[in-house]
Amino acid sequence: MDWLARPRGATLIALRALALGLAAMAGLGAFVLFLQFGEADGLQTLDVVRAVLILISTLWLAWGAVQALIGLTTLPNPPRIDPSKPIEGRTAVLVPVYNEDPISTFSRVAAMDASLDATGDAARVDFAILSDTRNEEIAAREAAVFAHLVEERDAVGRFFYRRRLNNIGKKAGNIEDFMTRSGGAYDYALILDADSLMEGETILTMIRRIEAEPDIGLLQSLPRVIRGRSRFARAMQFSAAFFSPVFARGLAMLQGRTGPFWGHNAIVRTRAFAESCGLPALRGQPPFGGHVMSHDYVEAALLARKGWRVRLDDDLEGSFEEGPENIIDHAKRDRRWCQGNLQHARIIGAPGLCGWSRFVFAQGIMAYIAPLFWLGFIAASVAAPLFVPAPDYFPEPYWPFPYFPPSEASKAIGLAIGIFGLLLVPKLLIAGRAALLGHARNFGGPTMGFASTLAELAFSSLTAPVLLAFATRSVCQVVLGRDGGWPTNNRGDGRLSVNEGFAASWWIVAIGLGGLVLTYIFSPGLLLWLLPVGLPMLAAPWLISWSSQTSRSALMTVPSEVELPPVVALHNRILSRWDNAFPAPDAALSSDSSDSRRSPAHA
Amino acid sequence: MTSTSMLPTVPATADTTRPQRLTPEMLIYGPCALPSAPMAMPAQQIEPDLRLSTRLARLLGRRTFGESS
Repeated sequence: MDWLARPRGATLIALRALALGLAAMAGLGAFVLFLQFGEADGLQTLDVVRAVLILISTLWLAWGAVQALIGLTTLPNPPRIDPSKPIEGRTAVLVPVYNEDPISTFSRVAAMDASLDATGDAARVDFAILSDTRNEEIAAREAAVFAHLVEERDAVGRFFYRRRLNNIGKKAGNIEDFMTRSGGAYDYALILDADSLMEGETILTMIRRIEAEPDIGLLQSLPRVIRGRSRFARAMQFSAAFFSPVFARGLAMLQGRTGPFWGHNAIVRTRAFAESCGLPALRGQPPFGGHVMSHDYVEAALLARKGWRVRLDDDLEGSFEEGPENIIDHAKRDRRWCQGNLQHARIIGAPGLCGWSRFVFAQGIMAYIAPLFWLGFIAASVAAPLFVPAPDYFPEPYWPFPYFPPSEASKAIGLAIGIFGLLLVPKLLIAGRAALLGHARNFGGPTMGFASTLAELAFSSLTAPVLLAFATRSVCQVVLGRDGGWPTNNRGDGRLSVNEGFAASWWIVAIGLGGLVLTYIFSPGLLLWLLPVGLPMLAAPWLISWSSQTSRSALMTVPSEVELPPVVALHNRILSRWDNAFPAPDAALSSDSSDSRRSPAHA
Repeated sequence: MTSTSMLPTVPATADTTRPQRLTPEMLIYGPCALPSAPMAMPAQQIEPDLRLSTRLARLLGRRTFGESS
């Protein structure tokens, strides 16, 4: 099945055509069904507009579902390499930091170094902490903790620290600064995030793979989310562990030579990266001009443009990251990603890019503007009754019996079932396959796997309207020219009160209330249909607070909770030792890293 | 393609044994400073060039993407 797991040439083209064809068929089916429904009381212009909106929305949903269905057909397929062959090249593990808590970040470096040590491999792997921290007090703490790290790991000559005087180009500029200053000393660079953790064995496997295939420019691992504590974080963590590998498998089958780069937990060939990925600022001012925000997608496209292979190796285990603990932090991160993805509209037409790279940019843009199509559909549906002519029950003159137009409600119900099916069926199939193949064992068993799937579906249905409201606001802000800046990620405890939830989401409550009232006035028949969207919006402050509280449920158990991965256990031990060795964070840390957690209204 | 024999020399400071009780500043600006091994990273063209001259050149078969001027 190697030809299907990693398709090439005609097989790849056929697979891509099949995937796009299936998604297009679903979209067109929804379009036709909706037109038939609209014809029942006479086809209006607004009906055609709504049918086009439902076509685009269904096409997008179906594209996601098709990726999962394709991913279900094969299992991850590791490339064949000789694990006993000594590694020749030198590797730098790059850890960019920006106002992060140095205890938390640098202790990860210690854990990964210890994990590498435990493999007994003699490969040369150095660590470079690349600081873009602007706060002087945090920077001073970084220096002190770094000295502790070097002493503890006996790492003079292997660990490096550099702080930039200015942070031009943000994270991409930080990496570029390393490449232009020190890139020549290394064959490969493993790019991490401040919250990344990787097993030593995984790091070595990635080095071996990129060394074995000289045309690979970048190798991306599939990081698993760990340490989720809140209900929201554990739902995201479960989704990333249970569903994402199948979606990623589908993506890996469709990628060809132009795979993804997600900005971290990926290894690059320094020469390929340096010759391909120098990013100039875009013409004009932010949000669409200025420095490239979502640089990773662009770098993947540029590597592919120069002929380098970019590959997602979804079989790699032992690659971890952490996620936001609450909806507000998620929305804050999403605001940055939204601006970055919409900015790609300026890059999508760059000369020489592979067709699939352009398609990936289009997908990224679509991911953020898709809620606008749903919003447009709902608004048009509420307004539609205002434009419908009064029914004529006696169309034939002198005919004594009334004529009742045929009801096409069954078509609307069928359409709704189809759309929900696109959301539910892939996840249920993934749960079914996990039960059959025994993958559910590490998720608490097949029954717990199904129960967790249903819980995740319920949870994501509840939170989706709130998340979509934040995403829609982000798109509007970017389109109106508001730059979101580069806020620090909040990591750690993120519990929120209802008041804090209300401060961040009062406008969602107002829009939800206004929407339901308008629906009741203009289109009362639609009210029941819109309650699944409107009620979560009305309850947004409670949802935000409730989902940020610590979860103690056995539902949504993930493998890293059943058995702690070795590098995570190592990190836990180091972190608790360092927490005792260093005094509590000073005012600078609490003001820079944690204050925004206390000010959700500014998210 | 990337043999270690092609690598520039890392400054000697990076290979020295650990000095006793260096202050954080001495470490950061001394043995733990990034090795000096510059590598060119030319800026790439990432926006479509909509100038008439470029369009004409492309029409005549000259590929114009790559490093930006």
